[in-house]
Amino acid sequence: MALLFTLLCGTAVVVMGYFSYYFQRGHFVYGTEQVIESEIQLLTLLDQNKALQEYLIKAEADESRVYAIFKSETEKPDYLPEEISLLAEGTILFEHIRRAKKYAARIHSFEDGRKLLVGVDITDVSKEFEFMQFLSLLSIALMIIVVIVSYMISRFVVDGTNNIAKTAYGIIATGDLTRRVDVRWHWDDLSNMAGVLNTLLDRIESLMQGVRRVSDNIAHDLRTPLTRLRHNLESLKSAETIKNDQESLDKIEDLLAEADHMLNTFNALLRIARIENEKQKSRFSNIDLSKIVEDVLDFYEPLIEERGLIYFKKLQSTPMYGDRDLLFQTLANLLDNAIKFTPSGGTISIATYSENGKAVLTLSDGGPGISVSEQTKIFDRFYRGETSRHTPGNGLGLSLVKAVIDLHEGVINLKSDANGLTVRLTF
Amino acid sequence: MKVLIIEDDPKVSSYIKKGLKQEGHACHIADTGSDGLFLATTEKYDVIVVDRMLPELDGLTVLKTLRGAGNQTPILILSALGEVDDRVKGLKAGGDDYLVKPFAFQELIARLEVLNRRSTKATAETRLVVEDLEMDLLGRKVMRAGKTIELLAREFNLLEYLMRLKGQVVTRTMLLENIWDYHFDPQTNVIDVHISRLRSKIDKGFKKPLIRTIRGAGYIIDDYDNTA
Repeated sequence: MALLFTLLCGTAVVVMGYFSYYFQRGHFVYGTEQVIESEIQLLTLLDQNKALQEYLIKAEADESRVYAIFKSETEKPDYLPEEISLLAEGTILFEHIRRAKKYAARIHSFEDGRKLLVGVDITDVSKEFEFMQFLSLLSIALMIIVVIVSYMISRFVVDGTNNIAKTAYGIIATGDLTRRVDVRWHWDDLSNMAGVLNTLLDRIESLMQGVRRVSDNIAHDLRTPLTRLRHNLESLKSAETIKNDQESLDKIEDLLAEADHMLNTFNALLRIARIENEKQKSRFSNIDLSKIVEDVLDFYEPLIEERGLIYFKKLQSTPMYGDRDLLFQTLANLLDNAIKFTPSGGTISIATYSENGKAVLTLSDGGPGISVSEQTKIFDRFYRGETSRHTPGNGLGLSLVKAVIDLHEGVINLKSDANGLTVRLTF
Repeated sequence: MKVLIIEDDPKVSSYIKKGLKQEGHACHIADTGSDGLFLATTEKYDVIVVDRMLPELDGLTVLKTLRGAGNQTPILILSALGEVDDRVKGLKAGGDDYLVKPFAFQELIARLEVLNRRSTKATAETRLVVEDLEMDLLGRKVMRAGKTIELLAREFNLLEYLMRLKGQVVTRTMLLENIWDYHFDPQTNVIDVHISRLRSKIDKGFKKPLIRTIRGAGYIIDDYDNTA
């Protein structure tokens, strides 16, 4: 950014400088040419009236003009110096040998072959011109200084904002709300803004801690009465009046199952919240994803067989850094879904491999797939797809998957076609 | 089995006490951490159940103090904090097992019995027997009524775990933790499928099934005499 800005400024300065130089020079040259041309017209007129010589002597008296009439190409006035420079096409510039003056001159050829040199004194004008040139050079130099200074300022600003962005990104990526923007000075606006951001982060941190406290309290406060409810139901089972009443016992079992379901949903929700908020990597270690897949398949194999499904696996060693329990849970949730949605006789295929140093896992099922409009929603808490509304589950399985993948800074892609759904995980 | 319960919620502690009494176990209750520590150091218990969050002294401190003093009584930690990290912290502090509230009483008693057995019995067995079912741990062979039964490695481990804890209820969570060695919640009851597969191999064709399901709790393998 800073570089682009400086380049733009630099180009503008060069264009402007060149323009002003060229414009002034052009103006100067053009003006001089005009004066000489009109002089020549006047002289031609005088020459026809045979009054040329008289006029020349008179006009040359104050040294503002210089004239010479010569007949052939080789002849040359004696006051011309060795060095003659060309001011423009057809106009020469020279310094008079006897007078300390500069002249711009043009040579006019009369019809009879005589040649007339008409010179105009440009000493003053050229001094002015040189001064103007000096001024435009000075302004270019100043502009360059401005460019350099603005480059430094923009570098400072860009560094500062990049620093803020880096900190913010770090917080987003790790969930570590204790990080703060490094404030180096206190006099500039940017440091002031960084300070304000830090205060904002303090506030967010204390709010987050509050939320966590609240959810912990909910966990504790709701679990305890639910536990009691469960305990009372359990002890009811052994009560004398109920012990031999099968109908009541069945009802109590149903109630217990309901209580367990509530608790499980609640625990799952808390678990997701914790994974999302804490971003704890304390249990991360070097693991092999294919080994975990192997274990998950081993665990689910009887279920796959019972449902009359066929599975293919193609597992290559895929080392990665992660939490084995959480990854096992994630893969179990995904495989569970695949088994649930694949009709009997269908196929499930699972593969792991390394690609560009990343661990990749693909899981394809033979189910109905997920429409594109639903794909963004399935990771929301409690979302149940149209096709899965009547299957068992709490709508939290994929939310957990998403939380775990985010924790591992992985990417999840879904591809749905006529054959089924393919889930691709990249870590 | 003599059990000490360190728990500040009187409803929970009386519920455990009632259940333990019904099963014929002696039970003491301490409702603060320091009382619990006092009882644990002055009396001899078979198993100690300690809640993590306690008034005065928290559960982990009690645990560390006991272990620091060389007390090796098996300890089960009870807690509303069920995250893997909390679990690991509790076990690292010297706990032998960890149970998350809310729990089913069967889960607790099953775990307590395992802890008690582990401390009283040196487990250098090479053969496990339940009625006419025999398991040779060295040769990794299983026979029922003299007939060899072919089991997959996973099925063998499952049966071995059940047979080692013969006569005790083994919960699904215990199986997950011990056989599969992962802490997770299966969404579908896959464990039941594993058990029914195992059953079809060892119980099919025999009059009396050895593996029984305890509704709302788990599974048990036992001799015929003890089955009600």
